[in-house]
Amino acid sequence: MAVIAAHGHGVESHGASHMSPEKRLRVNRVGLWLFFFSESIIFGLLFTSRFFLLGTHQEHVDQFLGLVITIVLLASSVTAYTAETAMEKGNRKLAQWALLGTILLGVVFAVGVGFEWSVAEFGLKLSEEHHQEPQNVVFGTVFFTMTGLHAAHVVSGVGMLVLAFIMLSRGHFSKESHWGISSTIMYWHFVDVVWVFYYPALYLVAG
Amino acid sequence: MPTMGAFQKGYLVAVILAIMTILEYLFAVGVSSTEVRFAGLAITALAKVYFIAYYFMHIYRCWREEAH
Repeated sequence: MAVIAAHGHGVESHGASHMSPEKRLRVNRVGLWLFFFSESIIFGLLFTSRFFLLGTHQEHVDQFLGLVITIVLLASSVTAYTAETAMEKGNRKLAQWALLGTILLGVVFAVGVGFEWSVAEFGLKLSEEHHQEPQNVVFGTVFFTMTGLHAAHVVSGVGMLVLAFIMLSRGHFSKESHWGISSTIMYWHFVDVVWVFYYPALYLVAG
Repeated sequence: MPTMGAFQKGYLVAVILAIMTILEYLFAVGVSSTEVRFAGLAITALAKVYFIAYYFMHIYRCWREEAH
């Protein structure tokens, strides 16, 4: 958030004042990629724990819903790309509309995950009423943890997109200086990358 | 895709990703061998990540000096 605010106003920290804008931008990019790397370790550990605990076993999940929310997230990446490219070309109006589209698609994705949770046929604890078996609960734990952590990132991404949208609407950012928008959109694409691995691991691996 | 405009390039990548997602789904429900399915899904996921990281996240900009 601080990054968005600082760049929206064209403010630079004292320690970086000797850097050229190009170098500053490059440092920002590398820093953001290091952040993605650290996040990948968390997501990767959950991803491997899914196969360590269950192999390729999978409980029944709604395949159609899984495919739909995956396509929604992919579509949100397209609108996010449009917003960033529009800013690079100085088209603020298109960037605003594309950001708004990304926000709406992000909300639809989060609601879809919430709906999937509400109809899931597995849980987090054994229940004799529902004739659950231990493996059912293990899958429930893995499924809710993986999709929950991912959904938390989606929700925080939507929050950052809303902030970027508000700042853009108030006249911040320009064709030459829009790292706040670029970094937020890169974060959004990272959330998409995580789902590229999580979707087949949770929905498709058992066929 | 060096001669294409930025918008066209992004939309072409999006179409490729959408086709890969549909094929991934059809592959998963159509293949009976667990090993083949796992390998196919892994390869598809890695290919999709390449497209997103390169064309959408512009990872090459980390080592290439340029403005936005």
